[in-house]
Amino acid sequence: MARDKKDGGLNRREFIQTAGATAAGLFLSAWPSGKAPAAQVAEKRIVIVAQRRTAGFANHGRSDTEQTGLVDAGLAGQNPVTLERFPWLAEELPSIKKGTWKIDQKNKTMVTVYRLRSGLKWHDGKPFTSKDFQFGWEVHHHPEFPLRDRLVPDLIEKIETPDVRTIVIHWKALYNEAYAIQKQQLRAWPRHILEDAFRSGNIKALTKHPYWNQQFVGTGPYRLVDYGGGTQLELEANPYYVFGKPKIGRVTFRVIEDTNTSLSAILAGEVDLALRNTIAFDGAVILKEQWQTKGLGQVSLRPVSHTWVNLSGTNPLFKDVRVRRALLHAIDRNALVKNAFKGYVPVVHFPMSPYRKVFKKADAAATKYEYNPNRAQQLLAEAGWKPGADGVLANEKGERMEFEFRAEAGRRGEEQTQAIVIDYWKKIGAQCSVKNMPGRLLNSEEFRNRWPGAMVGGHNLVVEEWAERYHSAGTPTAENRYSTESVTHWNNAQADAIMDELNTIMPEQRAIQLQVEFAKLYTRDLPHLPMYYSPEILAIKKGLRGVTPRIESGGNNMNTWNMHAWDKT
Amino acid sequence: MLHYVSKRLLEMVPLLLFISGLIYLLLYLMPGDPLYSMLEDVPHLRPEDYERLRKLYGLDDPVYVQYWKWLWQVIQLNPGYSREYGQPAMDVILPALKNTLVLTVAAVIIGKSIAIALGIFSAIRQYSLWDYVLTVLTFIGYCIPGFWLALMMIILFAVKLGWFPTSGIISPDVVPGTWTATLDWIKHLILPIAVLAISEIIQVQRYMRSSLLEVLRQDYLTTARAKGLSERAVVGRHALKNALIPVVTIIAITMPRVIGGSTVVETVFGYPGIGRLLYVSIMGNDFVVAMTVVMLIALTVVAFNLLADILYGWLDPRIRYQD
Repeated sequence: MARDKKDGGLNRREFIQTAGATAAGLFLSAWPSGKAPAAQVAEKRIVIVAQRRTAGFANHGRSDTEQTGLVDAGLAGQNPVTLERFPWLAEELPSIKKGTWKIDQKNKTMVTVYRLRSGLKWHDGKPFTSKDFQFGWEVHHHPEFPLRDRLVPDLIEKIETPDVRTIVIHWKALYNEAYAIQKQQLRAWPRHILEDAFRSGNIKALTKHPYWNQQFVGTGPYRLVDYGGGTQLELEANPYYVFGKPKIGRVTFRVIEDTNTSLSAILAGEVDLALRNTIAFDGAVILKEQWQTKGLGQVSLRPVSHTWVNLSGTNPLFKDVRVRRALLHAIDRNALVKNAFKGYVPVVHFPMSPYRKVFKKADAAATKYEYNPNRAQQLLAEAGWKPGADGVLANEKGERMEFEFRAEAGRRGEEQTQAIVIDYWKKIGAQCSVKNMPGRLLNSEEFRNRWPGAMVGGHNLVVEEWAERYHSAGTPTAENRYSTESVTHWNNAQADAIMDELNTIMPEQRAIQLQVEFAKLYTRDLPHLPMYYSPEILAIKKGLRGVTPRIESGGNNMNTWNMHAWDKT
Repeated sequence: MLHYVSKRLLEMVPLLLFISGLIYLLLYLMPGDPLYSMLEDVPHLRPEDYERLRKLYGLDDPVYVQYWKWLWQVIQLNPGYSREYGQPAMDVILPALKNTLVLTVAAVIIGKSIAIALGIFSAIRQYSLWDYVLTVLTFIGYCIPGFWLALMMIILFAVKLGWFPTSGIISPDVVPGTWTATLDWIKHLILPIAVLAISEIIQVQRYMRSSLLEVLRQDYLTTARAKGLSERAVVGRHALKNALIPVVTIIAITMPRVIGGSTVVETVFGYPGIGRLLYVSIMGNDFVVAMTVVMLIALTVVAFNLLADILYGWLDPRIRYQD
């Protein structure tokens, strides 16, 4: 029985009707909207999934190299398989031989001349000119613009544009990568869209312009159709792309944060390409065994970075190199990778990709620390460490080999490695206490880049970034808020000199010689205890052709670098 | 009643201010560094770059200055700009809120309706086989974690049977605005709604059963039966309304979930809702978004408590609020 109306209130029937109408309205209002791509229905389409969200495609704020590389291009790019630079928007790279790269060694200045390819256009069809690049530098150079990496903009004195295709860059200092400026270092921005906002002087407003994400107009192989909040990008082939219109007409770039969800999506056949560890190692093994063997696709496990154990550079227990060597000899890394990673992952001896040309020479020069507990004990004894009554190592001063061991909580591979290493060390008398913490805490100013005992971590293998990782000038301190990454506290003048020289302009042979020398020093001093190469997991569905997994991680290397040439059958 | 509601609404202002200050402080005290995660892949980063960015993003300001800046923007109905998403906060929050509301409202309506029906069924057939079956199922449901159930449903219905998509909100190959797209969208919603609805059923069914059993033992119902009323009339017309009063309280308390979404379910189904947004913004130290979402949830809690009080008066004529 319906309740009578009182004081103008609702009776039950009216209440139910109103609630129903509200629910229906809500349901209909949430109907997914977007631009109807009626014309593209018959086009080839792929779905890519990644784990990292983007906040846009700019060089400020959070962004991701893969997403950005789909929609924008730079003067130069990098082939992530050969690591060679190639001219992208530029017709050719400046060269000393051709006189387009002039170096004034006396004044330590340079000039590089880039010539743009003819007929370049932005996604919206407007011509791309040298003035756009000059404008890009003006924006990046502005002190209030929150650029992440200011190295290149700050090294430039001025940019001249004698004609619409020529860019003349005057450098304040010598810079070995000046011949191949990539988009993450410096790039053009469309003057026809951003110039008024920039000239108005309100840089804060400019950084929040919807251009940087939702209304992005670039020069990459794909143009943005729908930003999807950064979690589902809808892209269509750019007809003006410098290397021709891509063969695959539509791309959906989805962000799936949960590795199990990604795995399910791949198994259900919803995904053509899963990038960059969207699936966990266990998931990759499942895919190898249940998906690849059925011919449904391919799983790539390229060793693009590496995992190390670091012994605190400030803890006196580890000052003696014999102790570090002993601790490495005590670990059976081959057994570790065989058991924990089913043999898919090789042992690493120094931070260099095995695919680098110089690797063989460097590997021959490097010292190897094979599993040898007897040698470990011998080295420890030489350093004054002998097992006490309880089996724990102690020295003459009464110090005991006891220390804390950290890892990032929730990173299964690293936690597993930590447990195995602790077990090996226990056998030779080194006692560890586990103190793992979440990434948030490890990255906070209070804890980041320093630890009292040991820590398991990892980073990329990019030779060009060695200085950031190993140079003594980059040692994290209270003064720099522990924001620098040279966590090893390695203080070797010879190694510093090598890294300094590697950042200058030199013939290839000299660079090879220096890299070999570095590998030798690294494996002699063991600033880190190298554990194993860390693979990057890519799942490529059957039918997708042209994907070339990168050999190294790092911002210059994109798995999607050649997407215009990909095809789907 | 109007005076009572106005008074309660006015009381909400200092309460919400206090909540906002407290939550801002808690978020501020959380470990983490928003810049550090943004800069993790940037080579050549110099300490001076780090300091410059801290200053440009206002991270060097004392906490009360940062809070005041945020509050001032909220007063102007513009909560600010999301550093994590690179968009105005409301542009990020509103679509997520809309997605979550669709999911949770559907789950709540379906789940609670089924739960109330099953609760009634169990109560009027107490100690029957079906009552035992429902009791066992409910306890099994209590023991199953939501994420596991979600994953199992994905594996069964999406991977093995292929009936539904595994995740997301719309398939890439459908043309938005068509019936195919609507059907596709509904298909995307079915599994997450089912997982959420199951959790609703488990929570409310037991309350409904025990509440109705309590009421069914009351003297006035014995009188109603003695008057010759059918059991259907006794339960439907006299018992149900009174039995619903504690259930309304439970429903009101759980309603903020409608706004807050379910982080776990949204994450497992890759569903772009408010729960996942809150998680991401907290993990990314995106105070602007996190604060706005938390305040929305706080507002819902306070509003639903008020609504529950008003509903009591509607359900039980003995409850009257003094002006």
